[in-house]
Amino acid sequence: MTPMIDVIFLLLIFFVCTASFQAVEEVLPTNLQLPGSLESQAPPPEDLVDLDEIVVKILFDDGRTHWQINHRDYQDLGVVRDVLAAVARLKSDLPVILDPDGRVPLASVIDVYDTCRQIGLRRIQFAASENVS
Amino acid sequence: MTFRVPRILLILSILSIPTSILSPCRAAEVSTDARYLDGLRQRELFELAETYARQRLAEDTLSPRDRARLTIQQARTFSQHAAAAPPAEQTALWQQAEGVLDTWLAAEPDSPWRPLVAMQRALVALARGEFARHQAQLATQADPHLAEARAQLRASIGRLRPLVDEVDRMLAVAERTGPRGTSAGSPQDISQAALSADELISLGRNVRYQLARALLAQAQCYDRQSADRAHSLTQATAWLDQLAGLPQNDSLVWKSRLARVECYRLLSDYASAARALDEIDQQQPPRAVALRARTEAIRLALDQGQLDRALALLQLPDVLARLDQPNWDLARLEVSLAAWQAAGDRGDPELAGQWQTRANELVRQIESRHGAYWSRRAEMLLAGALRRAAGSGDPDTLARAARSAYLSGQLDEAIGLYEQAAARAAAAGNPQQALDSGYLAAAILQKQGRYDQAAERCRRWSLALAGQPRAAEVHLEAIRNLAQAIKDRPDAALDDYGSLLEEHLARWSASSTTGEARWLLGGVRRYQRDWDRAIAAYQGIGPADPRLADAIDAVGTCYKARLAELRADHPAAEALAARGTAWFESILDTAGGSPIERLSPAQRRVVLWAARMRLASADYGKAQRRLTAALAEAPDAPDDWRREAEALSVVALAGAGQADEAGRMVERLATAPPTALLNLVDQLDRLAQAAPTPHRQRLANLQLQVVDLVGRRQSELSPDQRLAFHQAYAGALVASGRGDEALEKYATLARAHPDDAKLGEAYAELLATRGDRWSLAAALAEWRRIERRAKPGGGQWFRAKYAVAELNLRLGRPERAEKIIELLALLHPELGGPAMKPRFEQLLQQAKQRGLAPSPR
Repeated sequence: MTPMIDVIFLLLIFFVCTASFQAVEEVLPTNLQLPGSLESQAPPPEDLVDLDEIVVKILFDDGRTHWQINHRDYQDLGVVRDVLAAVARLKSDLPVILDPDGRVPLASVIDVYDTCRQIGLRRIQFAASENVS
Repeated sequence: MTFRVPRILLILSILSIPTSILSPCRAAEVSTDARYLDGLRQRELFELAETYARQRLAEDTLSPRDRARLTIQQARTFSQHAAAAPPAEQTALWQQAEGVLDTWLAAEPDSPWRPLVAMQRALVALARGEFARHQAQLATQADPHLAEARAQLRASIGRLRPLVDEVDRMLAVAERTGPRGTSAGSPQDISQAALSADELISLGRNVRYQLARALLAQAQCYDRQSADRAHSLTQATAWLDQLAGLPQNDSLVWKSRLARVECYRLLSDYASAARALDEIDQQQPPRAVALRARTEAIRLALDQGQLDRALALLQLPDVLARLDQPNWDLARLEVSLAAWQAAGDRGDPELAGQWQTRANELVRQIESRHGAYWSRRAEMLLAGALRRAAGSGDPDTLARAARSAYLSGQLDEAIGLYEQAAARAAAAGNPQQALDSGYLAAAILQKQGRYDQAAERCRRWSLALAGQPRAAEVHLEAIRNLAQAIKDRPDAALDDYGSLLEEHLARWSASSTTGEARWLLGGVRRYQRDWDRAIAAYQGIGPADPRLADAIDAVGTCYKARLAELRADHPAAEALAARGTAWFESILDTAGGSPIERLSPAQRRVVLWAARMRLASADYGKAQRRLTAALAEAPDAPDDWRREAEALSVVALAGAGQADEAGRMVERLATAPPTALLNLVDQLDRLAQAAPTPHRQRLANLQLQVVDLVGRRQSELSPDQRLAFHQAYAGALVASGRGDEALEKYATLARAHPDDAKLGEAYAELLATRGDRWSLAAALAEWRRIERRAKPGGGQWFRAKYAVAELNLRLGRPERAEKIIELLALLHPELGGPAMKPRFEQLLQQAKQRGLAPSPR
């Protein structure tokens, strides 16, 4: 009986040591400011107070994606990139809020996100519904 | 349209218990109440008759016999009232008629008068059934009425059959127990006595006749070839056979014989019908009966297909020709229609046309002689004949058939027939009838809510027959229909609507309809903000048009709107104001150029608009003279107008630099409506903004004087007016240089009304005019608040953006101002439009220059 317990104990130690747990998602680092959270209530930094935050709406109609930056329509992701690049040159820490429509394919959202990252915009957030608990 | 079944048919049904069943002495006694109630019913004073009968029946001293008779009278009153009442009230009245009789029958199971009341109860059901059957002949949906008729007639028959047996049984008893012709030993017993044998014999015959009538009516509620119909007719004939052999002095004999002929004819037993008619002829009937028999003879001939015989029967002896019976005229029409059809079948269009014309004449004759019920029946016959003779028909016949189809609820058929009538009338050179028929087709479409099609037809016919007096009116109907058709999509079809109105004015420039067309066109152009064309449309409305006063206001409003658009373009605005002034003043001046002595209400409105136009072109002197003259020429003008004219005089005097005179005029405005005073403050404020500095102070004082007038009547102001007053007061304080007081006032107002963006802007602008750092920071905070509340991309939002950038610059933060404008240009390249964009660009330049300059150490 004793050798059996020893063997099982050794096996247990072996599996515990060799198990690999799933890595924490860090590929898409972003802050999600939910309504009511402390961060959402904090006043914006003084140098940003008079500058508009950039809201990029990603929409999907008739099988194709199109975009709105602060209520202005854009049909081409290249133009969206140019506008955002100009914004980044002006102030790269300006908050950019991505607001994808529920029907937008995830790939299109990732495209905009990647674009923002590539052109140097640092504060990218996703819009959250107010009724998220 | 509803038709009433002729009263006489119903009265005959309802009053069918003959007084002859009562002995002469009793009839005389009865007559007091009966005659009184009869008189009331003849005058259609039904409610009075009902009340009287109710009161009499409530008397305890009433004998059982009189109670029975009054109950019968009461039921007759309710029945006649039901026949004359609007459809919604009929059922209740019929039920009341049945109710009083049922109540009596339940309360008096052993009364000797029971057969009379029971018969009246059956007659109410018979009258109700007949009434429903006549309604079925005229109604759009016949089935419900026929079902009702069958139910009532069945009930009536069900009550009459046992009554025959009961009366026979009572008669047998009466014949055993007493001599004929008497019912009581002494006059004192009369009121309590039973019916005599003679009375019962008379009653029995009457019950049989009514039963036959009910069966005949029931038969006519079934399809022509149905077994039910044949069965009912056979039974009716059997009952009538019993009565047809009565002595000729019996009141029922002729009616029974005629009814029997009708039964035979409806049973297609033509030989028996002819034999019965011969019998009537041989027995020298009264003239009315002879004419009825001739009517039946014609129908019999027509049913047998003997048109020649029917035509021969139309020739009446003189004694009969003088009688006036609707049924006879209807039979004549039936003959004409049959002859028309026969001529058509033979391929003789000329003869067919003659008979068709004759038929039309007869329909017109029936309409004028016998009223709507018979006219409707005649039209239905005509429409039926036209359907059989498809493709033929003159415009008159087609129009009548269309009317009949419309009244029968066959609207599509009616539209088609009217269109045909219109086309044939136009081809026959009768444009007036063509237009009328075309218009009626459109009117039915309009009633159905098919406005597009109605508009198309009205337009088509009015243009095709534009020379007709009613053509313009019909074209205007096209316009009204199109307006209905496009009311849910005005923007998409407004051009079509406008074109139709232009077409109307081009085609009928002198018609009385042009006033409405111009008014509507002005509304369209106004909606399209096409001010010049709107003004032209309104200006065309003539002096006699009732819309003139409103049109003058509309012209003024259009000028005002156009002037507001041209605010930045002074020469164009001045030219427009001059044009407006010339037009308004031309209305006031006579042809000779001398002014009129007394102003009409419309002219008074013109004076105000002419003055406003003068003020808009800064021609204060002439405006003032015009107003002074008008105030003198209109001593009887309402106070509101005078106050308005005086308010404009204040502006004119102030604009002309006569501030003292204006101040004195302001005092007269103490009773003016607060709204007018606030409007005056606004006008003075605008005047002050454009005035040179020395004059501005005096204008500001004038503003304060007017504000003070409003302030005295604060209790009369609504919350909105109170806010406007406080704003006007604060604005006047600013204008008069009392900045601290104004600021305090604005701060209070802004706190009380945080959602009022206009107020917030005024407050922020005032703060920004003060150079100290605290005020600039406060102004910036206020503008930020306005920006957050404004709609992004809107005019106010851009103004707020500009002010925030400018205040940042003034607070020594040029790089921040620069970034605000650059980011704005990136996200909104139009930068608020042509008015705002140069200002943003200029501010950006200033910010860049200040950013490059060394900062003070």
